[in-house]
Amino acid sequence: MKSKQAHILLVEDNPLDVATTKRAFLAQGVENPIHVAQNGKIALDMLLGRGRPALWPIPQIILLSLDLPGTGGLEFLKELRNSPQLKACMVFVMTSQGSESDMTEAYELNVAGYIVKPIQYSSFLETIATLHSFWNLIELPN
Amino acid sequence: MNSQDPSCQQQLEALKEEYEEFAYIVSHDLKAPLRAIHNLSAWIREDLGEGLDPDIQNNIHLLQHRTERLERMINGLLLFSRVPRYDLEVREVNVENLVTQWVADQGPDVPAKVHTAHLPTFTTYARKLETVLHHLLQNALKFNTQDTPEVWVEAAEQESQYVFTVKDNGIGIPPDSHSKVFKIFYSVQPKEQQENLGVGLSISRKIIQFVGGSISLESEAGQGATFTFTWPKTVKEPAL
Repeated sequence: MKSKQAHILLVEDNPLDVATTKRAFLAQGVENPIHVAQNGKIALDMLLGRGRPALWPIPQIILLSLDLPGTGGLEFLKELRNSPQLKACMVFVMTSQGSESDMTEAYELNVAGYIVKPIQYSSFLETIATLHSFWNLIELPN
Repeated sequence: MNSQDPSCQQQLEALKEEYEEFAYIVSHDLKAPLRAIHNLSAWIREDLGEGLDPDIQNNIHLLQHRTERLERMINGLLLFSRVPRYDLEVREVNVENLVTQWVADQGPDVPAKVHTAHLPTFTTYARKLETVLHHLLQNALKFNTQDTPEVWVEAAEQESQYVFTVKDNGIGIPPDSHSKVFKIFYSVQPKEQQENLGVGLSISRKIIQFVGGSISLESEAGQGATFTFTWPKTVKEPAL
């Protein structure tokens, strides 16, 4: 599948961070459909179709905040890797502060990258541009 | 305080833990709203479009500049709070190499001369000693208006410790500021003039206290500054 059409799931509870990501996508011409889940549980419900229709196609790219209410980012990641239909999803952790132990655990769960969200919006735009060109470079299953 | 008293000891431990947790939470959780302020001001500027009134443009610039400064202060606080918990690996460190490497890393554009004498090689908290020397060297060159800034880094061996001195030919520190320079976020120069945060010496002193040494300062305005610190030869187990 062309990664341009790949759906993206953003797992983030802070509405302003959601708005920032959407605004940066728009500014950088990222056209992939984007879905938002406020925590890990909602994200899993959306992916697995628990109590609601599952997202289709399955978002192959997941942008994951770690500090979430309820089911946190790392818990979500563990369940994702245990699920036969979801374990291939590519996950980028986007967090506000790098903690050494969180980072180690995230990479042990095979994240594609661990990104500390920059304070400056201009730097965040560059982050999104870099991710975008990476997604355009790679092929994704499905 | 009687250190044999278990309840007193327990209280101290609890306080220490609380303090470290506090500093971590402050540095961690203050970042999200800060990012929001920075982003929102960037969007306002973007949405107002070209041809913005220079006053408004300047105010947004100042607002963003202050947010960035606040971020660096938070990072400094985080580093400060991490002193007892991070960089704890003990290995052999060649202090002479450490200093010459730092000077080399500054690149050829820095016209500084760094002289070394009697620097030891010993086994200790290598990263911590490195951090202290980096901050002192950095300050020695930063607060220096000479055509050729010079720094002398020396050590003297005593029975159970080394006495390191870092001396420069810089602008010096007025005596009435000597007791304040180790305080976090304190800076001798007015905030408007400098990008300096005032965390380097606080972190250095905290590290030196952590390993069981002490640091002092001799300086007159315009006469350069000499920082002297002691560093134990052997690592004692950290009192965690």
